[in-house]
Amino acid sequence: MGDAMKFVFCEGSGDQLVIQSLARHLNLEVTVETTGGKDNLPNFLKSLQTRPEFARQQVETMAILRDADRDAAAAFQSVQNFLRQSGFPAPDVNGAFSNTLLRVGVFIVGVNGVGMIEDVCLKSVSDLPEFSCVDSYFACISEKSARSNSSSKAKVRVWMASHDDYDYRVGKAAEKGYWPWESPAFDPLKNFLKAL
Amino acid sequence: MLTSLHINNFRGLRDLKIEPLKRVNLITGQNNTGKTGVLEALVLLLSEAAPNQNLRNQLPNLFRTVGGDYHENYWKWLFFGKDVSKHIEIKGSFDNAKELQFHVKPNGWRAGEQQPAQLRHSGQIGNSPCFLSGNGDSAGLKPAVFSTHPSNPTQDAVDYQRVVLKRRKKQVEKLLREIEPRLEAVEALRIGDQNSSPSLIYADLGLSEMIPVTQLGQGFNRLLDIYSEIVVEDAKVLLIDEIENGLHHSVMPVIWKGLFLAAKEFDVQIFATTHSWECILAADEAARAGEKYDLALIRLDRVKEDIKATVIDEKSLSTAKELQWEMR
Repeated sequence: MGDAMKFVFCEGSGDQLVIQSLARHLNLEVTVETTGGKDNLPNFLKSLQTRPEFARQQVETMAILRDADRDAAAAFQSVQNFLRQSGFPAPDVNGAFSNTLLRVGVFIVGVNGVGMIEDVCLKSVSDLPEFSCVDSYFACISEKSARSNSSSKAKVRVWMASHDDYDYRVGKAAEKGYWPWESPAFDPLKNFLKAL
Repeated sequence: MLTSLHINNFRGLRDLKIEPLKRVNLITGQNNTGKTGVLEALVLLLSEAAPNQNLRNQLPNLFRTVGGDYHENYWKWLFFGKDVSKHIEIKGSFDNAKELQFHVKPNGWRAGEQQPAQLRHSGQIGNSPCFLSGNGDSAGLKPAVFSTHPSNPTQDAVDYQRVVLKRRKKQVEKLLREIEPRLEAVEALRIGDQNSSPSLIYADLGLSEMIPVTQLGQGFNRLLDIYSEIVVEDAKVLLIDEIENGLHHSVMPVIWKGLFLAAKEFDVQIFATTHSWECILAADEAARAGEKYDLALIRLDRVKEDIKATVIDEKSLSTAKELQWEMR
């Protein structure tokens, strides 16, 4: 990989597999790893400073990806604070990179300012006619029982249940090519990764 | 105890600062990043604490093997870039808030150039006069060197007899029992003719016959060697090069348990170098077993033309292990 290394750090292994697959699709040479979860981010960033690639100043660009959850602005603010507290530069806005020797970018993953990688992937297939069956399934369950779980992770499982690889989660589904990378749903993420 | 070390213009180290130091300091890094150089710098800084050992003159062969013209092949190379006009400066800070600096400055201090405070002459290395400065001294910080050169069982027996002479046998046996619970006693014995049979060290494991320690594990022998040296020489700073050398990685937990015990029991500070990840993990585990995490993992990295030190603390090492980062 030479001296100019690029890293993307995601929250979990699902995001990692999606980003790895998308980066491969885009022919990007980038190392994608996990932070061990958003609660681990402060400790992760502090430890990252001691990692050989960073201590030897071999890293040109790094990006932190975090779920928007309920509030993309709050999620961005949180990552920005943790970066600065750990001695890293931070970008001023979501989806951008710092203008520093080590470029640091932050991308908050979600749809319309909320959610997570599953929401982005579901959006990419939401125009398919059979996608309405997913919502119908949850509506039916909710109507006939007290259960009302319609989280995006659950929706991915239901969507995948009709495919050959019926037990895949979002990351494995990405590896197997179940998400259409050409969908506009991935455009913000693709633009960010291309700017690495 | 040393709390920080700052090395200027020494070997490949133009400006290296290591801080904070702990009771046990494990130095890692790629080849030619100056790990052994740091140990040599410590020898120079602390050598006045061991005046009888003539460590400075022995420096070329303490950790290395030097051939031919020593001046050309060793002493000149102590100066950064082999530039003998450079000012070698090795500064140690201690936990009593005092500082000690070791200097080699062949051209001396020019008229008008400010000399370091409390400058005093301190012998020479090669052809160059040495100086010490600062309000501290190395008294009570006698170094002991453990290189990759193989040990000599006969000399080990002589050293052990001095352990007995100093009435510290029981203390050494007690420590060794931590890693070999069957141990009842360690003795230096001469079996056979006095002239032709040198003494060797034997261990009593409660078997029908005592067993030469050379037949026991490598970890046991290494620790016996280290404990004996600490006791006999009253060493307070252990400088151990490539600690894993000649040892199977499975022995490392025993070695580190023993070293942390020694650090506490004898109040010694340890500086060791390693290339081994298993060694780092074993040191970390031994440190976690103690009342206080007293390990600094120090990695030396080449950053452009310089060597920089990164001190990796307990939390960062824990993260590295969890996420399987390569930290050497």
